[in-house]
Amino acid sequence: MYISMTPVAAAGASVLGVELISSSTERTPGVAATLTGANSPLLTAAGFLLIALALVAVAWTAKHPRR
Amino acid sequence: MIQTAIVVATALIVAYTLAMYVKGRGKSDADSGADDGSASPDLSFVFLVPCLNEELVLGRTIDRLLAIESDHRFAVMVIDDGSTDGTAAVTESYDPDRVWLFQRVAPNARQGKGEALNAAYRHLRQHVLTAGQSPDDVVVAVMDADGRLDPRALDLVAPHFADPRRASVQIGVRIHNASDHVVARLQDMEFASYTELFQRGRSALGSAGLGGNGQFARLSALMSLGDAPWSDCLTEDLELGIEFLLGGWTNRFCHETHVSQQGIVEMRPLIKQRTRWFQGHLQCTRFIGRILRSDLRPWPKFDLAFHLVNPLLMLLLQTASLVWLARLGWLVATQPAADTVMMFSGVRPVLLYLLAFGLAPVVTFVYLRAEPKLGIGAGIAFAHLYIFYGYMWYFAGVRATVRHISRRRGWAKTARTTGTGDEARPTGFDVLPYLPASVRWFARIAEPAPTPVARRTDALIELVTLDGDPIGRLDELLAHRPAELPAGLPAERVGALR
Repeated sequence: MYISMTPVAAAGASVLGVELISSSTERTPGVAATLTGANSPLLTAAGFLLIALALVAVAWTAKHPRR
Repeated sequence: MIQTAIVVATALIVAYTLAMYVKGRGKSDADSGADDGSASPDLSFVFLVPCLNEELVLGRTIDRLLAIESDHRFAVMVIDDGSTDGTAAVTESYDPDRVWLFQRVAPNARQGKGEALNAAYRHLRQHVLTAGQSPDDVVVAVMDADGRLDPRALDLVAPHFADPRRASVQIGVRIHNASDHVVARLQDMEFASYTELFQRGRSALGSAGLGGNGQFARLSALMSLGDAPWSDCLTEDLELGIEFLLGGWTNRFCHETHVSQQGIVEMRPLIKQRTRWFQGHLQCTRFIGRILRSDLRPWPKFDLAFHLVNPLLMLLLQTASLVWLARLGWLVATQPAADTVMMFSGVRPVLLYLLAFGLAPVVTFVYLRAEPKLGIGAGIAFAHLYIFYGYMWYFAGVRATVRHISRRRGWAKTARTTGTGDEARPTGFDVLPYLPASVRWFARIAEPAPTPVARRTDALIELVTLDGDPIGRLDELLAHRPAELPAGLPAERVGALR
């Protein structure tokens, strides 16, 4: 019988993620982000770029297994 | 406190997943059956194909099975479980020595897949015993009517049965219409990732489970479970695998071969199917006590118990997840826009992505290894969709839990009625024409039926002397008093497995 556990992790992870966001909001005074600060959109872009590169690397490795 | 528990549970599940993956990868020899030695040359296979109105797909399935080239003898037993279409006619168009028709008619038909398999098993058992063949050397393979078995499957599975304590071998299951529909693709991803992440690890641990398709079980192991090894549980395959382990047998997963089946392409029937699976898991939680008290080694014991609890854990975590997502939605809707911008800026959305889709790279890797024809971009995209697809289990889980609590369990099956289920016999094993004329016994049809088909399937054969003194029912003699059978009964016929 095939009950995958992957969604379990995703569910728990999103719980944690929402909690992090909520708690961070409570500490946030509502100040606009600056390009160099912790809320920089550049940081967001760089983070997702790294994730994309990592995903491509993982996929490439899967398609080219070591002999 | 609850949040901490959820986070800890999630961390443990991720750790468990990765540990199973590593464990499975480290047992490649065991996976291939290389450590089990060579299979007995006498090992033979009987494919059981339960059918209910499968005339459209059955012929192709039989053709594929008969095209298998193997050193081992095999036959196909089609279980026609009360079909109203041409399922029987399709079956009868094949060589009856290799393709046997086992028909069940009302009121015994349509009692569920487990009962259909049990009836066919009882019939096969009788004839194997009568033929003097060892049940250790007969393997029963359960195939769906739309199943497409890898032609190498028999030769890859057979070595696993060299171990005399091996009860069963499960092979991988894939979806053959995965390229036609995204929902089918996600099911294929689900089966492939479950196989690679969990089944291989569970096999190495000694707790591999059985599925409804591609299940190979030794006849003697089935006989150790009595007259009805497949129960009326909604996941009778899961229960069978557990019973084998609790009975001191071993199960193995063979990842080198697979059977492919047609995937469901609409969400509503998919959720209905998963509801049945989920409820079947809930039914099997009754085994947890026996598992914990069993003589199994600690890790298989833990894994089996965890496997049974897992659906409930999943339901709890997904419920918590949805509650917190609702809370996020409420925050976004009620707080100042500047705060919302703040929430989704900087490193936080990256962190949220990693937390919610953290397993996507793992799924991508595993699936692209299994399906190398898929492109890199498609593999990454489907792995993300798969995370959302997983929430389908939430709806199935809620529905199944409600049904389980309200004791509704027969929605996927027709109502049960009494009956032995032994009333049918396959034409390939036709008994009456092969009774030797010289024997001082004759067979009498005890319950003649009005139509030719029913007469063939409803026959309860009663042995009597020429003077009319009753000896007993043939099926009972075969099962329980084989020594009392008159010499020359159709043993030479029923032993022909190929």
